[in-house]
This record gives sequence, C-alpha cells and structure tokens, in this order.
Amino acid sequence: MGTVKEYLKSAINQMKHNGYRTFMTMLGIIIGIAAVITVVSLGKGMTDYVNGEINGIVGNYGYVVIDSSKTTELFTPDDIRLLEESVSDLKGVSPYFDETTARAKGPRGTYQADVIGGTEAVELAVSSKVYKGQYFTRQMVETGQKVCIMMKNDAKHLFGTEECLGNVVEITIAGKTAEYTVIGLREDINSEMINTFAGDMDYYATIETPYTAFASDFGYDIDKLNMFLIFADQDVLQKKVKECAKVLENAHGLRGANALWSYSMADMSEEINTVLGGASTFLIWVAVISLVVGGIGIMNIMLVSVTERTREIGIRKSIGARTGAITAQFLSEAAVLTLSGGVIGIIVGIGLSYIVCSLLHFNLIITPGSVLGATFISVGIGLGFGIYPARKAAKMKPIDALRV
Amino acid sequence: MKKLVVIKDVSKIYNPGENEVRALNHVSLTIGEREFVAIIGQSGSGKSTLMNMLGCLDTPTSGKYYLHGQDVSHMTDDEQSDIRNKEIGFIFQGFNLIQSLTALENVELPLIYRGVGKKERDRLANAALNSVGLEKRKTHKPNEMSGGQQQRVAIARAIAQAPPILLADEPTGNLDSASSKEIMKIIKRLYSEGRTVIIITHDPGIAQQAKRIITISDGMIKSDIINPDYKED
Repeated sequence: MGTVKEYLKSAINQMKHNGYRTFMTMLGIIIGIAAVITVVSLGKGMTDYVNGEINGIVGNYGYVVIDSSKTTELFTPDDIRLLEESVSDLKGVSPYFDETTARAKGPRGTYQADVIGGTEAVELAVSSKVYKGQYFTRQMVETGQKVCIMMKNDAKHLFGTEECLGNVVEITIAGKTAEYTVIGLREDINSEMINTFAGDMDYYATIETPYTAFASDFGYDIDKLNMFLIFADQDVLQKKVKECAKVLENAHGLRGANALWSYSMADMSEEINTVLGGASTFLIWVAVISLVVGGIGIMNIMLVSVTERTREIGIRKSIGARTGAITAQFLSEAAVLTLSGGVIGIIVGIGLSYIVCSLLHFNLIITPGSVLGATFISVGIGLGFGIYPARKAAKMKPIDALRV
Repeated sequence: MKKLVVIKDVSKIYNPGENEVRALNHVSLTIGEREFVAIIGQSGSGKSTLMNMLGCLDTPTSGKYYLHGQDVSHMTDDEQSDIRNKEIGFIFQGFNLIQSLTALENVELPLIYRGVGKKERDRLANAALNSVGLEKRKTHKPNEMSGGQQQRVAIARAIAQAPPILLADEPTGNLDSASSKEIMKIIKRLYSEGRTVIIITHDPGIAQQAKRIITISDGMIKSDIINPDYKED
C-alpha cells in the first residue's frame, strides 16, 4: 500500500535527519541482538565441540552391565552371538576387559599401559583410524591369537619407530607376563579435551588385544563376563542398547529383576547438552535483558521525538490524518529504527561469533532460526515499546499541537 | 445560494468554573457556497476560536455546527479528521509546512491521507503547485524558500484535494507587502474559480478585499456587512 511506503520513507528521512541520535538509540538494540546471536552461536559451537570430543574419545557405543549385587548370572560368549542374531543394525558387540595398571615392555623401555580385551568390534570404540597394518579379526578373536594394536605414539615409545609390525611387546599384569605381536597401529587421539585434562598425567600406552587371549593369559574366565559394549550408529544407539538389555534379560531369566544396567553415549550427550543448554539459556536471558534496556531507550527517544514534532503532528492532523495514521507513522519509525539496529546487530553478532569461535576452535554455527528470531525480536521491540509514544502522538488535539 | 456553513447559537467556554473565559458567546452565522468572507477582530476577540470551530479543529461547548447539512459539532476525532480532509483547505499564518518534506511531498500529504493513489496524487499535487506558480520549486524544502513561496506551497496543499472551503488564518501575517499582495491575488483567484473563501484577520486592509465582512469582538458578532468597496479584479 502506498501509505505504508510513505510511512517508511518518512521514518527513514527522520532517521537520516537525526543521524547521531539515531545511532546512539540503536546502540542498545545492536548490542542486545549481537549478544543474542553470539551467545546462541557460542552455545551451539560449544555443544557441537563437546559432543564431537566425546564421540572422539569414547566412540559411539553404549554398555549393558550386570549388577552383581542382584544376581549371580553372568554373560558368556554365546550371548554375543545371540545379540548379533536377534538385534538388527548392530555394528558389533564386545566384552570389555580393561587393565589400567598393566606394564608394557618393548626394546626401548617399559611403560605403564592400559590393556583392553575385546572383540574386533572394539576397533570402533575410538575415532582414530588404524593406519598401519590391520585390526584383529573375528577369526583371531575366536582362535585366541596373541596379537595387539597400539597407538602410533606407543610404537614410538616402545620400539622407537612406527615400523614395528610383527614385533613383540611384553605385557605384564599382576605378575603374569605374556608376549603379543603388534599387527596394527592407530593414529594418536588428537583431542584438545584430552590434552587439556590429561596433559599433566604421565604417559601410558594403550594396547588393544582379543579378549580370548587376554583372558587366558591373565587369568580371567571368558564365561563370566559382566558387561558388553554395544556398537551402533549414534542416532539409534540408545534404542539398540535398550533392545540388547531386553534380549539379555530374557535370555538369563532376569526379567523384572532390574539386574541389568544400560547406558549409552547418547545418554551422556543428552546430559551434557542439558548442562550446556542451561548455561546458554542463562546467557540468552542476560542478552534479552540488554534488549529490553535497548527497547526502553527506543521508547524514550520516541517520546522525545513526539514532543519535538508536536507541531508536525498538529499539521498532519489538521489536513486530515486520522489517529491510526499518526500511530502507524510513529510505530513504523520505531520499527524501522529497531530493525536497522537489529540488522546491524546481526552483522556485528556474526562477526563476533566468528572471532570468538575461531579463537576457541569451535565450529561457527549460525542458525537461520537465531537470525530470523533476532530480526523479529528487534521489530517486536520497536512495535512494543513504540506503541506508547505513538498513541501519545496520535491522541493529541490538533489545536493544542498547532499552538506549540 | 446554498448554505455551506451554518453555526447556530455556538458558545465556547475555556476553564469552566470561576475563571471561565467565554471565547464565543452564542454566535450564529451562515455562510453560503461561493462566498468570500473576512472575519475581522482584535486579538482576544474570539476570532481564532471561531476559526478553529469552522475548521473542525475544536468542538463547541454548546450550540450546533452544520457543514454541508451535516452536524459536525460532536464528532469523534477520526470523523473530524475526515471532514477536515474532505471539506476544508487550511492556510495558516505560519505556513505550517513539514520541514523535512519537499514542496511536492507537502502538497501530497492530504491526498495520502485521503487514500489517493500515487499517480493521481502526483498529478493533482503538480497541478496545484503549477496553479500557484511554483513549477520550479517542487523539490525544494520549506527552508530553501521565501515566506511568500512557502505560503504558496501551503495554498497548493489546501487546494490540491479540491475542498469546497478555504480557511485562511492571517494568511499574510508573516509576509512583506509584495508577497502579501501576491498571496491575496491568488486567494481572490481561487474564489473567482468557485471556492468559498473565509479569511480570518485583524488587518482591515485585508478584510477590505473580501466581499462580506464579519466583525467579531468579545466573542460576539458585532457586524456582518456586504463590503460596499469590493471590486472584482
């Protein structure tokens, strides 16, 4: 409609006319919107980063554990086959032996080691790839071969070189010693979170072995397993872990005994997201308060503008402007003012997010939702806080307004 | 002669109570179509109040005002706005142009409020500015023009939407004598083109140029005569 265009034009004229004041008024909105955008993007970046790190460290798996205080039942290798047959879309199932106080001896020295026993599925447990040699196969697991996988960094410590495939490492756990042949090397886990948290800890090697060999060498019984790792895609993981728990419950007659405890990384991600979400929500509220303060600034300046332009209002009314026309004029001024502030705020916010995210090595995530939301919020503030001054202007009697 | 303005027993009282001021005291007045009327009075005589009443800028405390046969004395704000827009073209002493708008935009304003489309608006506003001899000042802002030119913009604005009544409040009050003459010439021409012109003034020299002279004093009409000295230009 032509009239709307006229209001917008008049609003823009008015802003140009009072350039400095316009900018100062918009500053509140600019800061508020920029803060909202930055905080939202920072929150998303942080969540994304933490999730990525968690998946990188612990992989996409969940576990099912038997509560030994509630039952004497334990899992056996048959359960692995049972799960593989009865639950679809599993990437793998593995028992989990983990000895963190082991020692590993190579030609270049002896180091503390974390020795893990599992099936071939454990390859998926961490995100770093096997880049040299191969992971052990199901066949190696079933035949109990004494082979192992270690990290690139471990090979450098134990053998002084990455060219160590086929060489032997001596593993000692609680007085029992066995020799394992290195058949594959993993890339180092290059995680900033790990480096941050574990940076001061002493070096230790991480060695993965088939659980069959591990159990027979170090005195464990493979028919008495108390936990399984379940591997599946992240989006179905939680469901699959529950399904596995149900199958195991049925197989061991534990229905209703509440003796199985299952947990997946998805649960952990949810917990972390809840915490991070809480932090973001708090920051967003802080930003919203600054928006409200900005809105009050708009209201004040609009009131000043109405007072200054009393005569103009009188002229407009005397030549036939209705109450609604004056209201619309001042409202569109407030809306244009806040919208421009909003647009500048969005640009500043994106810039700020970019700087902060790249300083913190987060991925820059700007969602269309936060940009659109910020735009609507800024216009909403203009309309909301502009209404009082606009009504005040519109209600003036033309003779009173002309007398000024 | 058709009756355009009928004021019946109108009073306007400010500050009702002990210190009340009776700006208009039971005034009755009829103005027909195509009349050229001057309302003359000293300051404080009530002429401005009468002008506000005639222009639907104010409502009477008592009495009735019929404009085109329609009772406009007790209308809502918006109804009054519509009446002002359709029926009355104002010419003020202080021009009352909007400083931030160009001459053309000022003249377009009443047309915008009437809802006239952009093309038609342009045509009417240009025609009005041409008729007051401002073809070359259309894109100028008020502060870039002389007083006489500003008043001509105001006249163009008043006639753009072709209202039946032109209401001029001291139209030459802020102008030098050359500009005054020019403005009065335009006003007389508008009258001769078929409009009703009402001039409110304190200046007998201006009033003498009208066809009918109404003298007001102490809120009452003292005389209402046909000007014997009136001459067509």
